[in-house]
Amino acid sequence: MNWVLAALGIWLAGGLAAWMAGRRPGLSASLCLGSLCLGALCFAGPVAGALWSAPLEWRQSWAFPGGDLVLHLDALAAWFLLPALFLSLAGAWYGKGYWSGHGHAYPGGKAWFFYNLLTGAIAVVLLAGNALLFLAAWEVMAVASFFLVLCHHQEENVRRAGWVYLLATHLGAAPLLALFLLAGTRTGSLEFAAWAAAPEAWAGIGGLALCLALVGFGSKAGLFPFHVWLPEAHPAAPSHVSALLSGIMLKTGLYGLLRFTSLLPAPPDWWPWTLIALGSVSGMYGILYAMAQRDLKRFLAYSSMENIGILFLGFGLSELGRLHGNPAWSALAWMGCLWHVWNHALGKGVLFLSAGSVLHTTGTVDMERLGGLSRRMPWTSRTFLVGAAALCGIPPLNGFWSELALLGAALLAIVQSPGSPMLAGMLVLGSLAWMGGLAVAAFARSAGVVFLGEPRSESLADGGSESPLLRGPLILLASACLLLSLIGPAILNPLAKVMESRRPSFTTLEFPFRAELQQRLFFAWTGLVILVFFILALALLRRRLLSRRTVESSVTWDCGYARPAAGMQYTAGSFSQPATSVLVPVVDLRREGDPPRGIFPVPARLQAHIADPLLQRFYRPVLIAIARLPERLHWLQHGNLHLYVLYVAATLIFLLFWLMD
Amino acid sequence: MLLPWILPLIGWILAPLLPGVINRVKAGFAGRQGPPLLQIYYDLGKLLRKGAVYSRTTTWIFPAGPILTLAALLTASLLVPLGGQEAWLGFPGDLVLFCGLLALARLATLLAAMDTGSSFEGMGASREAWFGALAEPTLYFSLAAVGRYSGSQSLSQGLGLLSARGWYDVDPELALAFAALLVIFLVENCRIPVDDPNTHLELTMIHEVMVLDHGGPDLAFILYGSALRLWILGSLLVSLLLPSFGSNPWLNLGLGVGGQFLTAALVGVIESVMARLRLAVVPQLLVGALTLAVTAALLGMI
Repeated sequence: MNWVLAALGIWLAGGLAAWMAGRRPGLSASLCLGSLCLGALCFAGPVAGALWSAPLEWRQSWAFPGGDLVLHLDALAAWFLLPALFLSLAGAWYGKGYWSGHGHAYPGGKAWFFYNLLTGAIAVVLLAGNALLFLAAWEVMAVASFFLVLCHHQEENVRRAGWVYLLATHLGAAPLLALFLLAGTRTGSLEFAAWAAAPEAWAGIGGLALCLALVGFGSKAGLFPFHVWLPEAHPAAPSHVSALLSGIMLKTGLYGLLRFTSLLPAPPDWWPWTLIALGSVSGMYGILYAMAQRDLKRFLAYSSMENIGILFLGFGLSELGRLHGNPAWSALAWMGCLWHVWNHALGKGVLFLSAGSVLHTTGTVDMERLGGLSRRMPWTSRTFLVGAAALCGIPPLNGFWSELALLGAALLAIVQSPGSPMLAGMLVLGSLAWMGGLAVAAFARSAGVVFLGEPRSESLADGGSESPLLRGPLILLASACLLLSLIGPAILNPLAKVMESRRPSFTTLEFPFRAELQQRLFFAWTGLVILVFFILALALLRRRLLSRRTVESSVTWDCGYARPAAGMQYTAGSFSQPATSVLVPVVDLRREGDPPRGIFPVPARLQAHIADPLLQRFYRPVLIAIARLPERLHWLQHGNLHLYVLYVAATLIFLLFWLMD
Repeated sequence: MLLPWILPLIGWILAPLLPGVINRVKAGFAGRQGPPLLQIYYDLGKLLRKGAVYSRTTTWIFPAGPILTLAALLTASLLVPLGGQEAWLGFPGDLVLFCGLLALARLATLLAAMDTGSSFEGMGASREAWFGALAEPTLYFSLAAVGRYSGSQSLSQGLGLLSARGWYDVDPELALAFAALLVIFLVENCRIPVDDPNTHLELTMIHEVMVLDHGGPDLAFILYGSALRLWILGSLLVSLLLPSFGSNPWLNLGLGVGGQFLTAALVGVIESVMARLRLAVVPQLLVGALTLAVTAALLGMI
């Protein structure tokens, strides 16, 4: 555990040094990257130990009441730590290139400090074994990410996004504070281990505690209906920060919920259903809105919401299994949920970084202005495609493995269980299938419109390629996705360790089911190998066939039209029109503009906006109403000093009498 | 031991016959003679010997599209049973792989279409993406309903056991699942009433418009892929509908192959007696099929 402490120290020192060296961007970035590398190396031993052998614990008494300062590294924490370390490293490497160019305002060394601070805070959140430490790290994480979101604070919409984010994150922290106080008063301790050891303390408040946890952790995870900050904040941050926020920080919400529910005795009946329902709504809502976005990064943020929905579906199904005595589908759902944590972290990481290099190279992420970038930015387009296919859950990419587990769990529940688990299985199956289908549509749309076809604006046609400095981390993350797809079944052993760390552990993971699971994964892997074989064989066949023939180039078939132009291409808006038009009651689509009129129409204009109805119709009015409330008390604040002194005196006298009673 | 290997081989060899059968049936309805049954084989032979013309707009994704699509379909063909015969590759949950492969084929076709920068192909891609997204839950639900009925999570086991038991005790969930699968079969294969493979106007096409720019070996891959898709999804339908007789596997296999051609003939009849639906109505058809599939799965609860 000393290594872990050393790593945290190195990150802090590296961050401070990077701040000091802020005048020299290169040095500052190198300090940050170096310290992150060193810290990750220090973490390697303990994380591997926790995943392959026993959990580690570090305990130190401190001045605060309610328990010791405890860092606890078990398999679950290690499982979340690994992608966090990897993504923060890749992000820092990317940021080094991203902030070195002159085109993008370098926010100064403090950004690197907050980046390191965020990484450290995420690690402490995952490691904390004490509620007070957890809350402190939670808060540091929120504040550090707030400052990172505000990196480009010169822009008005970034400031607005930062404000929404700050508000949401603190509203979300309040239920957690209440929850931990409640647990602390009931059990007399702030240590998680003590909470788990006193199941009787939860009698009567289990439901309330779960509700508080769901609101608190769910708002961090971006779960419906607490998601409104997500599509605001993530696109506003610099891309490598967005990758860390979407890929890892959202998952700390899920982690908190996983950690907390494992401390409680068996959950009430409504709990898994709530999780499944919220996961289903989040996922479907997220992918539907993703489909309608024209800002590439906002699209990715909504897609993160969809993936959080997928994670909660898996979590909910496994919780339902816990109520039903841990049947096989519960273990499978739990496995899919955990697996998807990695797959989404890597996939979303590579997508956000690719979107960042589009922004870096072209200066915009507006899909309707982009197009044909795959010739200018060949590597970015390839990595984007890898990430997109991974998040669509398509074989042979890594996202398929978590789909296989989650959908397999739903199927198993449908096939084998009577009654309510079957209904839950159908809900999960239907939601996942719907999300999968729309994800293919949404990613085909974004990849197709941004990277394929012809450039939609003239300024895009010429100009440099993506910066070679940005290529490295993109390729690193994409290859990690490919590697994970390749070694799919091999991951079962550490994964089983994580699954067993859950309390009460899965009895069904014992011999027969585990053997069956291994067989299932192996056969699926065989299918993927055959798929890759066919791809290679067909590619070779095509090459051989064409090698003896003439291959010419011409224009795209234009139906005989004499002057095709790039502006005639199908746009992102028109691509998603069938989906958005059918779902107008759900999607808040507003159109404005002047349609063409008359026999010889003058130039016409059409603009379509998609706004989040929850933000517009619920949160905004409610928050404005709340903000107005204190105005009623405005008469108290009049600026007369002597009357203020009177207030103080009156309060003191009141307290005196009250205490004397 | 030989049979699991022969099953996909038969599919790979005979699949191009299915479009031939459809075309002959349609020609018969229209009072024409129609193209030869083996026309697709001739077309494939011709296309494979041709060169190709590529648009200057396209990148490596354009030729990769047909390759990925065909590879996905070839792999999927290893997963489907036919005539009471288990597939070459079958495991619990293999239908997730099956649906994933169909999704891969769809994504590859969509991207290749968008790579041309043509507005027609973008339009086709948009429609295909939307209809595909609507069809995916139906496919899952109808297969899950069959799985629930036969108590198995794999395509081979589920549909295979089903054939043995047959339709002797007429169960409504099987009929509902069959109806839903039939719609999926028509949608995925881009047949009437969703898409018309014979239309000659780009604006009304869905699948055909996405492959307008492909030629030579690429088009051959696409053509073969379409035939194979008919075979694969037809196998699901036939396995669901056709009971197996006795214990002679060769007889059953022969019956299964015969069922494939009957399915093709059925498609020909459907295409002859009805017109393509308006595009705005297609989602209603798909949601209707989804309702059938969900009902089929729910009936399994009783």
